[in-house]
Amino acid sequence: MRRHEERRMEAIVLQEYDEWLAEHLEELISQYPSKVVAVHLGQVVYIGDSEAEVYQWVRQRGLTPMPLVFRVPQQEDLEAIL
Amino acid sequence: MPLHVFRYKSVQGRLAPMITVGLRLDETWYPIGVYVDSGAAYTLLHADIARGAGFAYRAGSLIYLQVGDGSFIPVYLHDLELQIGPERFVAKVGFSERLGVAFNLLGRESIFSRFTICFQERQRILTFET
Repeated sequence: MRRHEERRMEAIVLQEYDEWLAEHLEELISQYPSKVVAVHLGQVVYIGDSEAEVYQWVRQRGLTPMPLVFRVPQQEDLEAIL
Repeated sequence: MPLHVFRYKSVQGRLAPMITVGLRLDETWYPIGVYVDSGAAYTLLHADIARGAGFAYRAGSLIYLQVGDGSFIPVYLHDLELQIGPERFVAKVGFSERLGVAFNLLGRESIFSRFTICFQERQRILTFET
């Protein structure tokens, strides 16, 4: 039962991040193209050049739930993907 | 049948089938964004994610996958836990230092056999049904 509840919680967190991306992807692309951002509790909390850098920052902060670390594409990436 | 619904991500009217999934590396779950790609054989992630998480991705099975320009890229394959919606399962996941696209890709292996995936652009949603 506890494991089931844990999964539901995780699913809610994933869904919240997914909804946040749906609302804010365009804004991310215009502000931080090619950067890697950490999103936590509905806000961009860190901007870096690589996932390694951003995860290092995340680990130092000990944030929960785990932030969404997202490599922001450029506009042309969306146009060019096969 | 459980149905998990995701919104397409839209940029200047162009729709991208991107979703957020969970990936377990060692004992930690990481939310990551992936582009659902029926043309990709495997789920392929930027190696920098593994580096950032301290995961020894180079311990995986090394294979070479052909990409769009005809060249081959090295990929380190692992069996890892993924989560889509509330569903957790083990999937083949590859890490590459030479992915060549900005996105992580959610490919067919372990995924398309598990879910019925519908790309419903008119409704601007993707659905994953188990």
